[in-house]
Amino acid sequence: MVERSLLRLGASVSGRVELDTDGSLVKRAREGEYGAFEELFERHRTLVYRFAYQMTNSRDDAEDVVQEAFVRAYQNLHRYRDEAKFTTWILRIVSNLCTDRARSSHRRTSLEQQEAAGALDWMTIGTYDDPVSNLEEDRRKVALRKALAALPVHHRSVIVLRDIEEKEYPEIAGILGCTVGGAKLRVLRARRALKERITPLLGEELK
Amino acid sequence: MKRRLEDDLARLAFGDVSPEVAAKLEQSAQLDPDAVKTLATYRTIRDGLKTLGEVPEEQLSKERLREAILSRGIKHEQEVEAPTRWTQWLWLPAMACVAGLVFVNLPKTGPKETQVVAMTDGKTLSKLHVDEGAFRLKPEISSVDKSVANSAVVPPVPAATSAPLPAQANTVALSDSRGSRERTRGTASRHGNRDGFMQAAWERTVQSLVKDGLTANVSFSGSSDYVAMNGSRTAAKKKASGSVAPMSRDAMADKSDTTYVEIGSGQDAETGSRPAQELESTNNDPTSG
Repeated sequence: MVERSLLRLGASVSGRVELDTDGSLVKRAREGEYGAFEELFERHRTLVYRFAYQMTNSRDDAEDVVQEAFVRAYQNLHRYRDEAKFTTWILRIVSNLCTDRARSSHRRTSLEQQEAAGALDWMTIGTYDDPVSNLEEDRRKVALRKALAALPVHHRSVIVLRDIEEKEYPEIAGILGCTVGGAKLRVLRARRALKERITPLLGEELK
Repeated sequence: MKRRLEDDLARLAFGDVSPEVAAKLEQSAQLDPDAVKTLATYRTIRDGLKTLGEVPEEQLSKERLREAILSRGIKHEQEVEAPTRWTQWLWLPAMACVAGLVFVNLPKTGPKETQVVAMTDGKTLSKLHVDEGAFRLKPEISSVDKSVANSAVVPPVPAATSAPLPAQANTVALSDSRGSRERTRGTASRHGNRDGFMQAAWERTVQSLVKDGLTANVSFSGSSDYVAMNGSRTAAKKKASGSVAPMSRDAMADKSDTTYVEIGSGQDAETGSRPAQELESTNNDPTSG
């Protein structure tokens, strides 16, 4: 610990923070230092949660996904390749988890649940100063959420990564495990699919 | 609208094209009402997606994660380096080689070749090969040449078995293929048999009677309580405990051309051989010893 503190001090003095990179934290966590893994969790949990929330559209589900993702990451730290970014790796785990959840819960989603969600939306929206404009904006947002949720997971993930979280294409390619060109193509297809789904919902507004 | 144009409009709406290309696309899109509508739709989607960036605050915590990890019983330890692909399959042939070497170097416990020497008048007549594992003796002596039998080619026989036999040595009667028979005395020595039952039988039993020019076909079945001499005679012997071998008369009667000989429990002091007595013969030829 003393040596590590001295090294940190030296790193801060010299302007380098090599010990605090994700790679070094992963290395320390691999060596059994659980605190290093907790530091990784603290550092990236918001990012991971945002992505998970956009994928699940539910806070509880998103938290479950994040927790599961970090548990799996801890379990498979020895498989993490140092040349990859930790965020890319963890977001890839989240993406895979969301895909698995979407497959398993696809049949469980009943019409009653959807209606209940709609009723909840009706009760909770419209808290702004201008009720009319807020209603229009909220209606568009709800429609977009529904259209996004109706997309297949592989389309949804690239829309979330590129157009909501505004990730760069190389990072998206790393998360999806494809080339940059492949990531661009996937984003294009996903946008096209989203347009086809949202046009009926926003028909009046678009006219 | 063409798919290519729609893709270009999507790129234009989401800002994925350079300014020069964007200007050209804007100009061309103004000439087509469908293109204008499509471009507007994509821009609406882009603006709407940006508003979706707001997410409710999460309630994650380190304690919750730690509990989840502990509840799974996951202990992250320094894991052993994952085996590479070649080591994953290499252990199979390696283990096969090791098993083969062990098998080759194991002490031989299977069939072992043993010598049984039959004597007539103190002379070695033949060398028999005994399959110890199957307890079956097939000497396969089609003909025995006395001159060969008396030659020095025959391996040395232990003195106890090669010595001339006294009058009460174990006797086995055999017949040749022509039906003649002759009594003789002899001993057989058998080496290497670790089975007590067979050892007691083989060490003290005279096996064959072979005369010049005669053909002997002798086999011993050690898996039963009998020493069977196929061909014209079968010898039945007693167990080591002295009881008579349990072979029914009906079973004996089924052997139309078989003679059964009981080997007595008494032993000769000098040679250790046992007396034999004919139990039954289908051709009423007495054979006893």
